[in-house]
Amino acid sequence: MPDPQNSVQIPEVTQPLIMVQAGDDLEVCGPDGC
Amino acid sequence: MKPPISVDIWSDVQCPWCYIGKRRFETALETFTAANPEQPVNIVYHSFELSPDTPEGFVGTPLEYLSERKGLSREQVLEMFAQVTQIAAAEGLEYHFERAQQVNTRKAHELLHYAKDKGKQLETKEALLRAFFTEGLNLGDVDTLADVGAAAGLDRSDALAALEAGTFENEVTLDEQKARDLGINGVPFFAFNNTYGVSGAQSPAVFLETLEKVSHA
Repeated sequence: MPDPQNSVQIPEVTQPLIMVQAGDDLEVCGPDGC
Repeated sequence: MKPPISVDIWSDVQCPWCYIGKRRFETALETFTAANPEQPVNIVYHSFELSPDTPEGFVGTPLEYLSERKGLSREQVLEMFAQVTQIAAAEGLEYHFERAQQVNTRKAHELLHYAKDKGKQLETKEALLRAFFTEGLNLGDVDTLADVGAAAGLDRSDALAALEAGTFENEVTLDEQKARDLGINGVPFFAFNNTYGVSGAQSPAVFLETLEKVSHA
């Protein structure tokens, strides 16, 4: 059992997603508006 | 029983396309589940703040917010509201931008994490979206959030205590970090089995096709 205080945290690896293409007219809101 | 399909959804409670996208996804899910009753689907909502710079305690209207802080003309904003209200109505949703209260939504996201912990996240998400778009409630106020949570089946005083203590603050930050890692810069955003991404309030046909794709993978 590793000592939690001495163990190295390995960050979770985020795999890129395969985007489902569904036309250009995306209905989204972002920081600059909708 | 097959292993569950995971659907992770990044969204904000004051995002008009998020509520519409939620309904369209639910329409697709209903069709999918009717055809695939043996296939469980786990849905988790994740935090994404559209306007994290909104000061805590600020209460304005979306019209003021978008026209004064985002550089859009009042006419542009009103036109967008009219268009989106009409599209929402087609999904059976009632939007009232004239009485909506623009706030900092971080505490609302904390409530969603609390609700997830209690197994009531889907009910709470629906209640928060309705509270913002239909009922015009102030989702920056912890007492109002506790009321909305209680109506969704949460213990009001326990939820209020968690909000006041900031118990789930870190979960909001982690969700937003994950969104950045995935390159998400707009919501709603749907990730299926951590493999396929769908951006925006797409049609039910797109969601259905993606559910079928991952269930046969």
